[in-house]
Amino acid sequence: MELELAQGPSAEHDRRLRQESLQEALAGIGRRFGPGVVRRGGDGQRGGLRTGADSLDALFIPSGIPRRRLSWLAGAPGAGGLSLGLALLAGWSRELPVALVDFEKRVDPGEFADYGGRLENCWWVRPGQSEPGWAAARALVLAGVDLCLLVADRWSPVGGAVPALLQAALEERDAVALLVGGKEVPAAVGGRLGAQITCHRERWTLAHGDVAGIRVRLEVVRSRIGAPGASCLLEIRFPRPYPNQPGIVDLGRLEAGCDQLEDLMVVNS
Amino acid sequence: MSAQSRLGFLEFPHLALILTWRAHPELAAEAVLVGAATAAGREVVLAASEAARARGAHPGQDFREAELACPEAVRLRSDPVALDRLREQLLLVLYDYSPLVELGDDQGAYVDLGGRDLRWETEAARASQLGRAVQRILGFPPAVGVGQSRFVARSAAIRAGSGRIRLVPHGTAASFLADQPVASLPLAPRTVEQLLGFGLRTCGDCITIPLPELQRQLGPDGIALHRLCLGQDSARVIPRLKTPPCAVRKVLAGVVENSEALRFGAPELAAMLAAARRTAGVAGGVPTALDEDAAGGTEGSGQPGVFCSEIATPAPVATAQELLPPILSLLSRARCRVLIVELQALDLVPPPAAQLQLLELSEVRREEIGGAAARLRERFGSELVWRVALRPKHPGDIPEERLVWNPR
Repeated sequence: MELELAQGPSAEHDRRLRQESLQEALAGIGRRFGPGVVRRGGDGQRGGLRTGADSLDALFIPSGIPRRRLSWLAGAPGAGGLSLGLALLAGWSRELPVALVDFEKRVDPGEFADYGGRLENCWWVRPGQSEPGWAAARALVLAGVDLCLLVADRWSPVGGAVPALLQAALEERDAVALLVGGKEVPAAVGGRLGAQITCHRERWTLAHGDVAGIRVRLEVVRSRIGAPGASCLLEIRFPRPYPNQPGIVDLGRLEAGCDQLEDLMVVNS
Repeated sequence: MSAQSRLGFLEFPHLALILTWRAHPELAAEAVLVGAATAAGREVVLAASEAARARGAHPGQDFREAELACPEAVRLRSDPVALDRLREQLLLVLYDYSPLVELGDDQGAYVDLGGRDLRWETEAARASQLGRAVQRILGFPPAVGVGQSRFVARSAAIRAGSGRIRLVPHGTAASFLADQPVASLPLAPRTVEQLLGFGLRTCGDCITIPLPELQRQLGPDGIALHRLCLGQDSARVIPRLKTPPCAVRKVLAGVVENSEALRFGAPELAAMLAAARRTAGVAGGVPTALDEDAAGGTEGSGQPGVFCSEIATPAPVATAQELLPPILSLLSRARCRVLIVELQALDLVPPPAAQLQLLELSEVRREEIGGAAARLRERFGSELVWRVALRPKHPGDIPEERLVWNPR
């Protein structure tokens, strides 16, 4: 890949002209549809939280799980959503403080550790009811947790203020909240989702007759910041029974939904 | 070369030439020879402009020979002070992008771009920012190449040309180098001649020959050739050795005779040394203790009244917490009555600044999050937020046995 580093004076003039006309067009769109409808990718604000799987990152613009928003990794039990969520959380916990809100008390921290997660960087919330879980997520995000994973198979109804407060906390701290599991979320939460990705199990990966992993197709069902319909294929290697490099294997993007925007101030030649 | 090594190479005109052009912009397109005196007093060509090189002059050549080769060249002497200053400025910029930087022959710099830097999302963004930062300092756009090894990065920069960046992704080095002429390989001229004699003109031609065959024909150069052609040569960056001194000195309230008592002061010394290092912007590998005894009577030192010892840490240490164990070991070695303790840090290297800030931030955040968790427990009960740890030597996979749940 080659990139241009510097341009001559005529190119600079041309670029300035284009910049001015672009600014005019953006101002017009802003007046007509409201401020913030067009946002800059790249340097303008921090990109999404990278997952380590390029094709999964590329489902979002800018690439990575969107910051300042609620995202939902939906899927029926056995579709691979929880395994994917745990593997992602384990990866992030190596560098960032994270929290897991386990509404149904079914997630095994040992599995998280087996995926290479750092337990000392993870706060484990096991609420008896729905509201304390959401409140804990909000409080931990405000305190500095970069990513909060909320796990449930059936989401209990919550009041409209609860996700709104979490959303505000995410925006304030530039953090990420990822809901994992379930086929439906409460209406109050659904209205605040930035992206919904559905997990479909393609097949189990077998080794010596044992289930050693799962192949998952991820499809963007809804996205406020990217084109829905894009999908990618991942394989999640379980840490048990064979601890052979557990984690996520990127098998590639299946459809081109939208190209990633990079604001590098350099152009591909 | 490790599986994850990423190396950047920036190619730019010789720094002495850049200084010359700054002082005399009218010479930009002229043949210019910049000379410098060697330690033996002989004057050699330090830098030659492209026009001068086209006429046969080259760096390292005797200055008189160069004058004969290129009589119309403008001849100038280099300014070592200004050159040093420019080198320092350039290194400061490069250290902002990587803790490992090698400014070899003043015409290029290797920068270790391995690992992640949270300031830039992609390698391309990091490399382009690096290129532009160097351009701001030098006033000339460098050629930037990024690859898995020194040769790949350098070749990429040369192919990219001034003001451009060439990235060679991992695993594509062999295909990238396939068209590279063997004459450009850093091998002995005799070996290159042999290769051309065999009809091997490019790296692509060479990798078709099995390694044992290359070894049989070329000896040790065969292995080097094979590795170069696959982009598996060294990725080591030899950092700058010159670093600012870093030392702290503590005068004790009275003479201490017991090394155990001396060790009580270790945390304070560690904090002082860490603070000094932070101020100097360095992290070091070898703390040295110099315990001075006013009353004399020391052991194991060549100087009366001074006990000196040194300890090498396995990795560079920077924080007070990391410094404490080696300092404790050093102080426990003191075999004299001590009045003054002086600690020096040697082999200093620039710290990975972004990583250190990240760690400090993380500690603060950890405390804040802990506070929030405590408030949540007060409000919703002690069984809401948990810290989980693995039981040491955990038996089996049963979560109840393997994990320790701590509601604090």
